[in-house]
Amino acid sequence: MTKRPFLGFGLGLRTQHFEDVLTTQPNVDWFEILSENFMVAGGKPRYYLDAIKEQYPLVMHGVSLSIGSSDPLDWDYLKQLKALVNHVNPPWFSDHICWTSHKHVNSHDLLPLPYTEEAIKHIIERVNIVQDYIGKPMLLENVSSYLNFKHSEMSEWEFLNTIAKESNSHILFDVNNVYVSARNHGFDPLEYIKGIDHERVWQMHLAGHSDFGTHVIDTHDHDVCESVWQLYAESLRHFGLTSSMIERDDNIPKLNELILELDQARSIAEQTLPNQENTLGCVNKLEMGVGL
Amino acid sequence: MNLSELQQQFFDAIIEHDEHFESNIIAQGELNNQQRISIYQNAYFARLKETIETDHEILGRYLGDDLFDEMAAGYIKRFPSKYSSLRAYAEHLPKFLSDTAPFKQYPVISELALFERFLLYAFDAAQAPRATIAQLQAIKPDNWPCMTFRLHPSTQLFSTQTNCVECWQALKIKQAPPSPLQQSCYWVIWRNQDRLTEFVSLEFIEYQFLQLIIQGCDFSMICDEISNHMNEQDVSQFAVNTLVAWLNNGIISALHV
Repeated sequence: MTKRPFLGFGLGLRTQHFEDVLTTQPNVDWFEILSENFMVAGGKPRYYLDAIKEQYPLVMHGVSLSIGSSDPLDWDYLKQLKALVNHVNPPWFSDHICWTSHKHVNSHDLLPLPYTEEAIKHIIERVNIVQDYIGKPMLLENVSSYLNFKHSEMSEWEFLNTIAKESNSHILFDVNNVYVSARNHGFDPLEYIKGIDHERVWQMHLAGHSDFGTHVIDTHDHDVCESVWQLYAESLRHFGLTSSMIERDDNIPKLNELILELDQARSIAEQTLPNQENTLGCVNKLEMGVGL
Repeated sequence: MNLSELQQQFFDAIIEHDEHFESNIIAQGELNNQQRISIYQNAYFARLKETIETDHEILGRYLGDDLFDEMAAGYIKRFPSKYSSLRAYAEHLPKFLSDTAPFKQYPVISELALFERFLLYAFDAAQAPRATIAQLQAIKPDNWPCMTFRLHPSTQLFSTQTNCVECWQALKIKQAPPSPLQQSCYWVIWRNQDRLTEFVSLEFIEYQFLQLIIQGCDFSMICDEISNHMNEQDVSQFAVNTLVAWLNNGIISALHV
């Protein structure tokens, strides 16, 4: 298996911060772009993308691949994705273990799958096709969910592990999503973390959520909460040093506030894994290129 | 039940609020199954409505909350999204508004939506170089008659039958819009060199000039058409002045001879 590259500590790149990123060159090791936001011919997004990719490593994260859908793969979307990958040249690209569309109608939501052998077989076939076509390592992210199917035959982490192993893809481990789903379904998030094949995890997401008491919704509109920071530390202990980033999609604060939050991730990594090099985010460019 | 059937039932629950899906869910925790499904139903509706709100902020101000909610609910029911990007989701909104009561009684509403779509198209259009005055001056006079032009990809031509743009301008600065009027107007919308979207009104002959450029007509054919609208001796001066203004504005991407 390819050694896990370590990019350091990153942020989701958002429109509100384009100009600040260029003018202040913040202490961020890399940015994650939302692929669909840049699948346009030109304009402001593409202008800033080109300027920022000259200065920072970028990875690509999508929401519309619908890898778990029973629809055929959307080749128009894949062609656009490949064109953007060729333009950006990220070390990897990612999407979610979910489905978003059915019979060509898009829910624009990350819908949960039943954890079944049928779904595993279906997804592995599609990941193989997509990964071969795009020509870059593919990461699949666990999603937040609000319901579980009676049809499921295994745990979510067993489902993820099997797909990653059998398709030779990797895992984008969203710590907040594990917290949200654990609260909504009543499982132990530590059991989830310990159940994940740590060698497959190449990236971690950190985000905030909305807590309604009876349930939690993955809204990305708050700071990362203390419980999620604790799970992040547990994840680092189990996975080792992993490229980590903060996602914020609503109620977006100023860039310097997000960077303070990112510093907390660096600090937790340093305390949790004190003997690891690069914890403070000096990207080792040679390591970044290994096997990619 | 196979994966496809399960996904069909889930979609029917989200979009059509069909109740058959509920039996597929494990009952657990403090939420009942209908509450769990309603999280997805609410998210679907809220996401599409937010897209319309974002893309059509000024239309929203014109309609007010109640009419906007009625419009959004009607549009979302009529048009499930078939796009991978939400950017295009509301592209049928102008047509929906011109076809659907009570909005169709006021053509200014549909044209306001169409104007906002043109602004979005200009914003997202491909990047391209801008032709310059120096390039125009470098073309030998003998070659001017066969000169053709390419507009910047962001350029949008818009003819209106109402005062929708004046309404948009007033609402943009949070003033009361003028009363709706029937009037023929012509506009060009484009993204300038500083990546800002601009628009200006056009005389009919200027609008036609740009349409002839889009059709691939050369300069002599364009001047022939202009001569139908003004004195022969004024045509060349008008055509050159107009070209120079558009070159300065960044509307013209290339000159060919």
